[in-house]
Amino acid sequence: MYKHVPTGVGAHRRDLKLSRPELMRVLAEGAAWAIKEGFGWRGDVDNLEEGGCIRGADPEQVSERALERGAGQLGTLGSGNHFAEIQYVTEIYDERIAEAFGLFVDQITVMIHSGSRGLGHQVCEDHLRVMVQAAARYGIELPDRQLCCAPLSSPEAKRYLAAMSAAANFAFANRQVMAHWVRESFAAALGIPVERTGMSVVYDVCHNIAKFETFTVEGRDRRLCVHRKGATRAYPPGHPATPAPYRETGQPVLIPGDMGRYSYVLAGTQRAYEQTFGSTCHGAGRRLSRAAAKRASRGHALLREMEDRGVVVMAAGMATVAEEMPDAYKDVADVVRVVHEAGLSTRVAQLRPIGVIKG
Amino acid sequence: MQIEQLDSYRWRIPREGRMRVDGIVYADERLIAGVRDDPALTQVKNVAHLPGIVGASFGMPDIHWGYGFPIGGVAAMDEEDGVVSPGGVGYDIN
Amino acid sequence: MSVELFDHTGDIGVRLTAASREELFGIAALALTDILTAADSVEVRETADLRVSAAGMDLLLLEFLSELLFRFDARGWLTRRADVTIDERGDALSLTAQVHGEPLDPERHGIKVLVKAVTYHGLEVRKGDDSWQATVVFDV
Repeated sequence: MYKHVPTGVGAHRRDLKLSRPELMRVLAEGAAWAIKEGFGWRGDVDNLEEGGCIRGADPEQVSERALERGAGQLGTLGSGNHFAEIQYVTEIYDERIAEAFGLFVDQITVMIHSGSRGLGHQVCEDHLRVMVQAAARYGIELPDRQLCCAPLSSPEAKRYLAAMSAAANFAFANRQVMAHWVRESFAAALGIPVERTGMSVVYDVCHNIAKFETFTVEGRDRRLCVHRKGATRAYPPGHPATPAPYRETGQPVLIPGDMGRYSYVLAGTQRAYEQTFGSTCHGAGRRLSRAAAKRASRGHALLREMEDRGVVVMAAGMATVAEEMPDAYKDVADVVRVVHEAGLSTRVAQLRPIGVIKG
Repeated sequence: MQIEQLDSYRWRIPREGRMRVDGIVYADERLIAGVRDDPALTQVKNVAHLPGIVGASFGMPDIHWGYGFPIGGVAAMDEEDGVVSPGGVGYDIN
Repeated sequence: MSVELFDHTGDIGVRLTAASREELFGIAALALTDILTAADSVEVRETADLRVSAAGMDLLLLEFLSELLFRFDARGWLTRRADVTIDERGDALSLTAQVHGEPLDPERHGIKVLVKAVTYHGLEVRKGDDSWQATVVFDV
């Protein structure tokens, strides 16, 4: 898997080079582009948030610089907290939902955490610059300049949403391409055809996104622009946006933990829909700064210690491993317990890592 | 900062000054103690100032400081009189 | 002249002090390189020109570093030295720079961390009695 999925800086697969028109299609079509190009199976998109493509994306609103940053980065993991992880199911908390998600104890799973890479960073940067000025022009008083914003009806807002959606589509395509390479890695390692790996997509969630969604507020249906920053959508059973196999269980929610402990799969609930605009948590959250983690890791043979826990780590740089060591994060189980008890999502399964690749 | 406990897992930062809605943070006693002095809670308050925000400015139990909006933050804006903010999504659009 | 790194939650900040604003911008460029890779592993093999403008000195520094970050992320460019000239016309500031360095060579340049962006958080450029100071936080 480490060989198949590019992790280091500047690393990309020679067999995936995007021409400009192709990049524009990625931005317009998202995961569907990847599948059309052979990176995946036809049914994959059915199980992605928004079907792996946010409508309203306009590649023309993505700047030249963002395009240039993105051109070589499709199918790359990135660094920091991004990862691809081989895991196994250690515990099932809700048999009925787990069955609908296709999860069972001791099953091998793979989780990929990545996004829109430099293309998305540039989209954010470009539009922050615009919005700092726009906020002043529209007379919006802000307690912090980084909250800069523009009225949803304004051209600035429309352009940002169109570019941000295009970046999200790049992210969907990016994860889809890497998921395909992960399948190929398993097929190659097991010496079987890819189709026989049985590796179907459980779900794909966004956790940094703003989208128009409809909610009933005080008895009235209203279209709202829901900002989720480090928060995951958690739609309830019966919601039309939830893929058919999950209609009775609620939308799957993926909550990555640190690389030494565990991650979780949850299901969306009616309570989240009513209380938090269908939103729940997204992960563990850092406990130590990167530098503090590095200091704490001194004198530790991190890779050996991870191996003692039964986790093989492959990384482009050891600095990343130190910064991302398990002690740098809060225990994700604490976070998951709160959203479960508060009813924002239902705990379905716990997954433990056995192999981790990092940028 | 004033924080009221609503129930076992919900904490309210009451609306004051130019805030348009309350802040609501989901956490247990231990997690809320961990962020009590964290600027992330001020950020929940800051987000509550934005035009057209509906319901409340929410913090999830994994809330921590982010650029402008906290990470672990949720805010829904009305289509007609609300706003969109790139800081409410962050650099890592995904 | 000094460069001091500080922790900022999950991110990296730098505090810079220099005798002039041109020198300040120069060491800011070097500090960014040193966050990405070991700056002393970067050799001067090529020179490129760049130009940015902004309405304030803090924003000018943000634009300058953002330009360098873009050149790294999109084209693999690493800066070893930047010769900066700043031109001031009322509120409009413009910067021209010759940046000396080389393209990323994964064999020689171990990457420490990828920087996503130069942020507005705590962004500051100040003129002291006999020095210039700046604070910048990078999202990593």
